[in-house]
Amino acid sequence: MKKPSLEQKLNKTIEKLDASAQKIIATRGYSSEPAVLRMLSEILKEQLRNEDSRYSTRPVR
Amino acid sequence: MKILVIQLARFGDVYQTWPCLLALREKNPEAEIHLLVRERFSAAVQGLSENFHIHKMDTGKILESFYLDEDSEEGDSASEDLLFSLTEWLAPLVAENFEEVFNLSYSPVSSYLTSILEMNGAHVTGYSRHGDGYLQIPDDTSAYFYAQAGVGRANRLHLTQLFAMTCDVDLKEAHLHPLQGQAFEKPLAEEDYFVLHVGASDFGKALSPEQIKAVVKNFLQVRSENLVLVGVEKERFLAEAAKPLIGSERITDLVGKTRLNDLFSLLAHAKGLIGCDSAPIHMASLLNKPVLNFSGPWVNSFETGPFSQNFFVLQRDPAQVSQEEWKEIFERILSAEKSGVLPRTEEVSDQQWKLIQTLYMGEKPPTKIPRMTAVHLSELAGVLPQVFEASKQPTLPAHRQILETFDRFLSVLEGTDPFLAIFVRWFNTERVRIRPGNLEQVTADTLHALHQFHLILTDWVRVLGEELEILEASNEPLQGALDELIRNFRFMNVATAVEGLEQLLPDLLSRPSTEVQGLSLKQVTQDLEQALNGADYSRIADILEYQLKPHFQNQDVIL
Repeated sequence: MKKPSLEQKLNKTIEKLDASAQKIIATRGYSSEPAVLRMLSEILKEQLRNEDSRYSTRPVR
Repeated sequence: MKILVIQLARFGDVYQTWPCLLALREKNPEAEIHLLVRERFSAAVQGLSENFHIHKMDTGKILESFYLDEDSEEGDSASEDLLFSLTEWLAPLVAENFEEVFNLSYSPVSSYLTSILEMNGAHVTGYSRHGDGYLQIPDDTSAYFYAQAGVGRANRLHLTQLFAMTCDVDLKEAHLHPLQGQAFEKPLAEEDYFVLHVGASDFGKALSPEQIKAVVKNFLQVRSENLVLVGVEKERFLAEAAKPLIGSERITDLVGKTRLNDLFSLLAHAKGLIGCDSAPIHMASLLNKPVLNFSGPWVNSFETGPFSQNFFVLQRDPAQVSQEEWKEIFERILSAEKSGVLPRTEEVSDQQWKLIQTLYMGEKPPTKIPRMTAVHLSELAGVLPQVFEASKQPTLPAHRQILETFDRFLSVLEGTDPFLAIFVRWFNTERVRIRPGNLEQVTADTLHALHQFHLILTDWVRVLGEELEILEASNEPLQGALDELIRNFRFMNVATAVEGLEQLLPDLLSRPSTEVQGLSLKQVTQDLEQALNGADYSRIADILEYQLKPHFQNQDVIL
């Protein structure tokens, strides 16, 4: 089986983390648990080719 | 009191945070002030006084398990390890029990971090998260930043000022130039020299080898000082361009031989710095050394340019600068009188800055605007009463349709009218700031924002009714948008680039079809759409750079 690219692996992990966070927010509201999941997801997004920490004045999503 | 300042951006941003930190220290002499930076950029806190507790976010360490777990397809096992690493890193930071947190990062990562600290009792200024997880912008400065700061926008407040406003401190000269007059060991035998940084924070912002050669050659001809070349090892090829001249005893080549912090002592004994948009211009500013900054449309120099008392920002090809101009530039930056020269601005961006001042600083609105903006403005003011009524009962299907159409209209205005985009971004930011609540509360807050929006617009319409002057023909906004798009496609900032192109396409399609290098504008636009559908980003960048940009450069365009 072909080994997934780093980008694919990043995207799948981000998707999974976001889905878990969303599920918790929908059932129990926003708390430190989904906040950590989201923070991790955002750190991973910075690893994608089109993301990095960049400078302060970059546009924010 | 325990205060945490968060700065998770890069070297230059950390240096631009110094003045604010020093002002915070002065305002809160008894407080314990902490600073959080990324491990990767933590060298930029060296030289800052030891009155600050430094925390580092080591992303490499947090993500270590992810990169080690190469065989996992979905990173299943890695996810749990990642969460463990992040939680482990967060625990001591949360345990500090900060009372005040100032987030100067304006980034998604930092907003989740501040929300965690907020849950632990901290009062947060800067981006955080609402109780439903959506972005929260609690303070007016961060809201201003969200709406108006950034490349291609008309903001003219410097980042050091915006940071200080976020932290509610006043900046003094001593905060802006804390290293001025400080004793640094003399690193070189040379007495009289300028430092030339040959690189930049990325190669897109650096000069080409030919331009470096022209700068060195001209410097040696018009000035009597020596020149010290600095940069990192990977920028060596740029310094090689000046190789035929390096034999000159007036040049010392230190490229690849210095560490970041060595620059402080090199600059402290130098007459000034010559360099592109990168951290050294901010290091020189902390020393209050004269700076000649080669810049371009990839930054907003008003916002992130040098902040020394004397500087000159040159937004032209340095190879095209005459010797007379070189002489004049150096005379200006070495003048005993304060002299900061920013890039020449066109009237259209001056008027946009006026509009920002109207919205945020209570100044009189500009009366000189493009014809298109006058038309859009009356259309927008005209539909607002209907939108206001629909917003009272937003769940009714007919009302929902009105509100959706209104949002699409705002989106088109934001993409096509740089004047009204300022208003639209202000309004959208106010909507982002609405707290989550029941339908009644959210409706009341939305109506309040709409009412404010209507008041501002009608006031401007009234002023224009008395005195309206049409601002004719400038293609600067379109040129700026094209430059930014080309850069984003070339550097594969795909999400931002695609969003920008999607905003630009309706504008291009609405223009009369003229010839673009033998093709009609419509055909070129179709080519762009085709390349976009095929995710052929380098083709898009080529069409923008070699077909559309030269075409619009030769046209008088009113946006």
